[in-house]
Amino acid sequence: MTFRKLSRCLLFGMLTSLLLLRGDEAQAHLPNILRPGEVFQVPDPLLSFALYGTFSHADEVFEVRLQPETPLAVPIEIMVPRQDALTNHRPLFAIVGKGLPKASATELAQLPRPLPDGMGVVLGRYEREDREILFESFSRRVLYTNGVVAYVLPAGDVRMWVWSPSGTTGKFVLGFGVEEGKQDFGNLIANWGDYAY
Amino acid sequence: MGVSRQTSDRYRESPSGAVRTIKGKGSAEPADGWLYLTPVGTKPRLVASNFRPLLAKDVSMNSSLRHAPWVPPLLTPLLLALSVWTGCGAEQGPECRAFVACVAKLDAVKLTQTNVSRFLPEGACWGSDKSAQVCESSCRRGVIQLLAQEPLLACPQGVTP
Repeated sequence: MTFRKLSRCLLFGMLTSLLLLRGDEAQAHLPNILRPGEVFQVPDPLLSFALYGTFSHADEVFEVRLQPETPLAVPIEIMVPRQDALTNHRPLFAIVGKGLPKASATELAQLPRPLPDGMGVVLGRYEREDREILFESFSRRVLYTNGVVAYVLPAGDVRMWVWSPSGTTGKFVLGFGVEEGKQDFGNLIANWGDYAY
Repeated sequence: MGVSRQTSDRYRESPSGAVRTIKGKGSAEPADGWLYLTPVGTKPRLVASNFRPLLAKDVSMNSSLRHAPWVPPLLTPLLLALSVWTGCGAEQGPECRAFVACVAKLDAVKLTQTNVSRFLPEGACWGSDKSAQVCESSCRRGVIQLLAQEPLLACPQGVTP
């Protein structure tokens, strides 16, 4: 067997093995679509998710809910395709839950909705004016990010709201957690239009 | 998931459009005994430690493989897949050590027990250099965020203030 032939066999076998071995677990890491007006319930906050949404109108709000059993430290960031048309598209997110700091008057004014009784809020922010960029090699796309931050979410009912404070429209991705190394290629291919740009 | 942050390269773009990389520690240094694939975008080539090409004679030297010619195309990829699957990545970084310590102080104040499993030495953060880089960034900012939320916490801010 020539070296070239062996290499091809190895690569084919490796890819096949990866798909076969990891097919079941990949289901837990589906990239998901957020829709305005609908609540996306995170089934297991211990896993990582990439949640894709599109602002078609300026006043839309996307909501994600999760129920950690204990307080949970998790990296969260919001990303936008790096396109000239989206240079000023900077969606914000808020983490809402009991035990989080009380909202200041400024924060309350920024929120897209009134805070539920007894809940505090943490606002995601853009770390700096020049935008951090990442190359996402799974979908082969380049994205702006607000800068990933490890937040401590309280136990119980936690909500995340995503909105566009300056009224810009366009795609975004809410990144939740850190990749555990399991990916769902089938879903990516089947829903390429939702994930790519 | 769609966004694979363990395989992401991060950099900044200044308002003028200039770009500089902010990659973490190098990930391409070979360690003896491990097999490497060339980076995505180049012609795939299997190489052994010290980047010496893996030759047919390397395989034929192994008697168990020589007597079972069907093994190399199946077992070797399986081993490679397992090595990728189980992860052979980074160690817990200083920023996340600082973050975990800060969360522990927060827990002591609030009488809670926060799940920081992602950031612990055996956590998902350290499955690869890329995910480690993401976690270190998130931990650095996470300490700052915690101090903003709980100003009375006495947490050192890791290695990069």
